[in-house]
Amino acid sequence: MDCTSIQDLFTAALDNDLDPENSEKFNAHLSECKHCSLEFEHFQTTLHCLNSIEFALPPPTLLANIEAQIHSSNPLLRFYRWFLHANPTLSLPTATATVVVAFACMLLYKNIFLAKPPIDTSSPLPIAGYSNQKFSFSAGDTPDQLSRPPASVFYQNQIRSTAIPAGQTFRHEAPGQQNFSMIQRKIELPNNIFFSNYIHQYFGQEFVPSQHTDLLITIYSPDNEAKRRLHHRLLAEKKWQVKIYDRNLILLTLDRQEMQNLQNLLVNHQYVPPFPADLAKFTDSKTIQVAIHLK
Amino acid sequence: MSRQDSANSRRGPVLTESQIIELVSTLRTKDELAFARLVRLFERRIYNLALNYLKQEEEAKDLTQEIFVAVYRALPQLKEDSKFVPWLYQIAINHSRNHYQKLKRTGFFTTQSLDDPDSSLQLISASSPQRDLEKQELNRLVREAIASMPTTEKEILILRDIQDLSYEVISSTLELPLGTVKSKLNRARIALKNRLKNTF
Repeated sequence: MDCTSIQDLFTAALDNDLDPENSEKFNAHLSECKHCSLEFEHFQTTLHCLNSIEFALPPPTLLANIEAQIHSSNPLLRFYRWFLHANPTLSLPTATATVVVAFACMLLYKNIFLAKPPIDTSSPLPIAGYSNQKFSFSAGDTPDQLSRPPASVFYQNQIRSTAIPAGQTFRHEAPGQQNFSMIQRKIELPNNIFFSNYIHQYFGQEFVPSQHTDLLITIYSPDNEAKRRLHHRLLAEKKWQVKIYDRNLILLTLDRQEMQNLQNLLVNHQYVPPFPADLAKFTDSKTIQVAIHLK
Repeated sequence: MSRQDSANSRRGPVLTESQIIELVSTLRTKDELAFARLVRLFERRIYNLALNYLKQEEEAKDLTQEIFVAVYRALPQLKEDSKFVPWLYQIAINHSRNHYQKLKRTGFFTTQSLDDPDSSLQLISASSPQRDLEKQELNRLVREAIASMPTTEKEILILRDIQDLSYEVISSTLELPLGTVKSKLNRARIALKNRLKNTF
């Protein structure tokens, strides 16, 4: 038995766990080998030190802290105790019913009084469509489809409501094109306070759509720089009368023959996808008023 | 008083297996008095396990608290009442391991040590002040040496030579075969002996 294998038996020897044969060999080696004998002595001293390590006293507040943590860590229980403390005459069913009624009132208030028009955020961009009292079409339409009946009231297609007749939503999906969409319409505010408020909130109180606004073109873009460039280009056209409501809403008054230039500007600079009709077809007026809303 | 009795008295009260089973069955009824009794029975052992693992008094207090709260919550998951002690130590070791790793990641052990002059551990001792000082110094050296050992060796040393648990309980606690526990214990003791050689 060599010195390394003797060390492997130290613990077994102290536990009296060696069989007689190994025990004899172990003792014989220790009596002959001073090195292993000394190592075994150190081994025993180490064990003695370990066994005699003093135990420290735990803090006297330990139990109280544990109990406090257990009770405070259950929020429902904590709430129930607080509730009973605050309302000692209430039983658990009454308390539960009170909470349920309060929650229902909160939901009703949220749904009725704080309701906002639903916005169709799933609508893929770009979207393009055109409408006024005479014509309505979407960018994907073929020329023979242009004669469809006009929309009497047409809102941009995010607004969904019973006020919008089915089939009067104009949408064109053109994946891969610029992230712009275009929609135009004749604005007539219906006798519906919900939508009136929405339109005013949407465009601002100052913008009161009138019969004189022939077309509204809304251009959607997440690119603020692109919108800024379009704003400057519209202002640079000297033949057009430009009225700026704010940096997102511009009113243009232009001659009928200039409509093609406006259309070219929008398409050539890729603010909107190409569309198949002459914008001027939407009205018979010599002078056309166009509102451009940048969103 | 025998050496074993003396060791047990400093580690806290000891219960027989039947007493532990009875205590656990009372605990299952969410009896708060039974839980208080359980804490009183094991607080000294668990607190010192935490202290030996982390070497820092304040952290050991928090860890002990955390362990007992975990025991209270996990009690319904205990399958056999007779395995309560290994189960308790398993929770204690797992929490100690996690707490130690968390502190290690934040660099806690690079700035803390038991030899801090303001360390105010209250040790269970009835000897002279001179002897107390020597013992405290030896305790510190041994704890430092244990703390610097690899995790498994450290845990086996703490459980066997400080907590005085049986091989069977250690085997259940660490989920290691009995033979592995014994061989690892021998290796850990030899490693500790080599680290402390210059001290003796």
